[in-house]
Amino acid sequence: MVRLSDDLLDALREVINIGVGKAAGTLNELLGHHILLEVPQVVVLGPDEMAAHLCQRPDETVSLVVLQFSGQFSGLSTLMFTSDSASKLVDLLVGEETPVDELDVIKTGTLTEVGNILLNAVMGSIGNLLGSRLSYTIPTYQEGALGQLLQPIIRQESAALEVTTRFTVQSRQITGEFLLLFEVLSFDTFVAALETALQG
Amino acid sequence: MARILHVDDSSFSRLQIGKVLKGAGHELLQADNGRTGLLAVQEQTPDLIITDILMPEMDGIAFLEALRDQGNRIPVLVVTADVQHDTRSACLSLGAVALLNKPPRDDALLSAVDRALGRGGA
Amino acid sequence: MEPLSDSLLLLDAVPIGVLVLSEQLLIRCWNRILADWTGVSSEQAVGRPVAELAPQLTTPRYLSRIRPVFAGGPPVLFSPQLHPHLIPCNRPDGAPRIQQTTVTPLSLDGTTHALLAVQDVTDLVLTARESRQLHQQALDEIRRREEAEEALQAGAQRLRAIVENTVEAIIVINQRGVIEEFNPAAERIFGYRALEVIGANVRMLMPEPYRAEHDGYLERYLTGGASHIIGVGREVTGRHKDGGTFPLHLAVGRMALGDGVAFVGVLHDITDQKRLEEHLRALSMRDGLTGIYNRRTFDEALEREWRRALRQGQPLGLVMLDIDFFKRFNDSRGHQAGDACLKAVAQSVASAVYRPADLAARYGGEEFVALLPETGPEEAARIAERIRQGVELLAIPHGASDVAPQVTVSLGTASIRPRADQDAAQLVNLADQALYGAKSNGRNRVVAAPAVPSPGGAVTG
Repeated sequence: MVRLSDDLLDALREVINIGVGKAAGTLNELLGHHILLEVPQVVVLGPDEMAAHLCQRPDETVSLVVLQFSGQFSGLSTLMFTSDSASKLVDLLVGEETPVDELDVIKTGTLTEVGNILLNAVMGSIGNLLGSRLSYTIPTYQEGALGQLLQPIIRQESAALEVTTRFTVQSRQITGEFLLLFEVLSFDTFVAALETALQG
Repeated sequence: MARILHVDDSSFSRLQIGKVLKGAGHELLQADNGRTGLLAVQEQTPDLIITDILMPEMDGIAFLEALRDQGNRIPVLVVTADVQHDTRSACLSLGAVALLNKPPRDDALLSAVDRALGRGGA
Repeated sequence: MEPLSDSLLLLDAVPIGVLVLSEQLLIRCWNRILADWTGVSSEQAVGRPVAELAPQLTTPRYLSRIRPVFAGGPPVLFSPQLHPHLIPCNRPDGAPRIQQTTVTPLSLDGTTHALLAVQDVTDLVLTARESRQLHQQALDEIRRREEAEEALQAGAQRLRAIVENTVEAIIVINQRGVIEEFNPAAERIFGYRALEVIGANVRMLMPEPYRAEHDGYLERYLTGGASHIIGVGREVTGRHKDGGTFPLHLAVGRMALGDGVAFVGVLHDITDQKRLEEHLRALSMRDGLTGIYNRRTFDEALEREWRRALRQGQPLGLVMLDIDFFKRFNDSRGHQAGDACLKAVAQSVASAVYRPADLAARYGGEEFVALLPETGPEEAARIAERIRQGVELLAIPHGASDVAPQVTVSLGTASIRPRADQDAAQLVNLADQALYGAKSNGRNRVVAAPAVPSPGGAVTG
């Protein structure tokens, strides 16, 4: 697997930062509150590291929005919220008076949309930099134990970019973990495209 | 032709914006957060400051506040990924002359720089 | 506008609303389902700007998300929870359709279009809501039965004491609607003595048109259909003995009595609660310190007026202003004086705009705005100058200002005749930049933005 140089990693972090900034603008309008952003952290994980990473908390309940992309490079783009962050977001978006029975429907709808906003902004920002056209599926929402949700996904992938982005709304901290998982060979293509884009 | 200090934690962003400024004949100084930015302002007295907002250690808002408290008269231009309106108002009310969203178009950046320099110590 | 090829006619067969938009936001396809929902036929819709049929879609908050789709970006979802009524259309019963919308790129004639698939999820959402209500009703029924049994055991006397002393008004009627019980709390809110109403029909406590309908309710309930009022509390209107009407909260329970039934109504007067709600709503539009409209009200008005100006081809004017050296004023004169100054300037701004559609608001900190529908650049600048003079005439001593011995303001004005490819933020940006021009050119002055915004020259925002 190709390793990313510090320069490439920094460029990637900035491009993702721009995407997250744009998403924050959209979320700001939906929430009606200012969103305090933090600098996102970006880490490259090889297949072994991914598995090791998962083993730390396989039973944790998470909400996962998944977007598949294909083209010059292919893979999955996922956004994960812990159940704590997920319920804070739903509270902020639809109000706390929501009846518990309706919560599941509402949660699925609103979190899919929040995931859609963040994933689109980040993928759009990367796509702009690389000038590559990708095809996307419609995003899907899943909820359950982290290990069960991610295990079948990561087994087929070669490498991942893990981005942790934290933001605070109305003094409530929300953490989203963004995983960009590449199919075999796609990661190398991605890195090559990144290098070309930065030289241009 | 001016001495411009660019404060941004991303070396990528410093490189991209630096290329455009140098291409227009400006002299370039760089710092990677608000704290090192303040030192550079004191030691090198640039004609214009360009700053990012989201930075570790001392972010752009704290940097703008510190500049204001020191009675700074050097014009400040903000270039940030944060497109929220409150961020914009906060920067402008702290004395920034204009705000551009990342990534700035080359022509938009240069014309904002020219306008900021034309205003002098406003 | 070219009609779409025949293959797209199959979109008429699918059970979802389909709308295809060109990058210029013109409607290229409007399928039969959408025609059914909106009453606008495909022939009428195709070729028109979508702003005319679904104005919400062209507001910046939606457009900024849809735009990337034209560049081949990922699909965009609008969930029914956050955006239930993207395309204005009702169900046959008049209730707005709750929609879930997915926007995907579609290549047509060599360019990328946006395909909006609109699913009517009203039934899903309502079913979820209904099942929750049924569940709640079943629980209520069980609780009522338990309570009734308890009450029986506690004895009739205790029950009477409760009815007599409770703050809730209780009225019991028989199946013909005749009042059998009327407790002291009911006497208080309706102004009648129990003796005056017992034996009379409960209709006397209702204003028209509810009066005439009530017998129908009872009839329907007794002939087997469940009444919508049984078991579920709701707001109704009551009629006082003096003829006045007032809002009530009413919950009705059914009570089996030998071979007949009686209905127990528990009511309370919600006049005060209503008044409070009104008051809170009014407050939420206002800025707490200055009493003029707040930022949120301005933002909403801006979007509304922008759309109106776009539709009517009228100019929309905006004045943005800022108190000069306000921080120094605060530092030298103290925060109380600062607040008083903000209030006085706010009043001055509000009194300078007096047409009904004009709106003066506090934009934040020491910044104010005046939104001026149907106002061109010259008129906007004149109004700004009026504001500037008004503030000068307030003659609030400053002492720490570089420009004048009294408090002054700097103002930026702009006016745009909106086009479909612009958004309201551009007007704000122009006025904002003009304001900074006023500040950097010596303050205490009005600077007007250039009449036509140059597409490349403005700072990107």
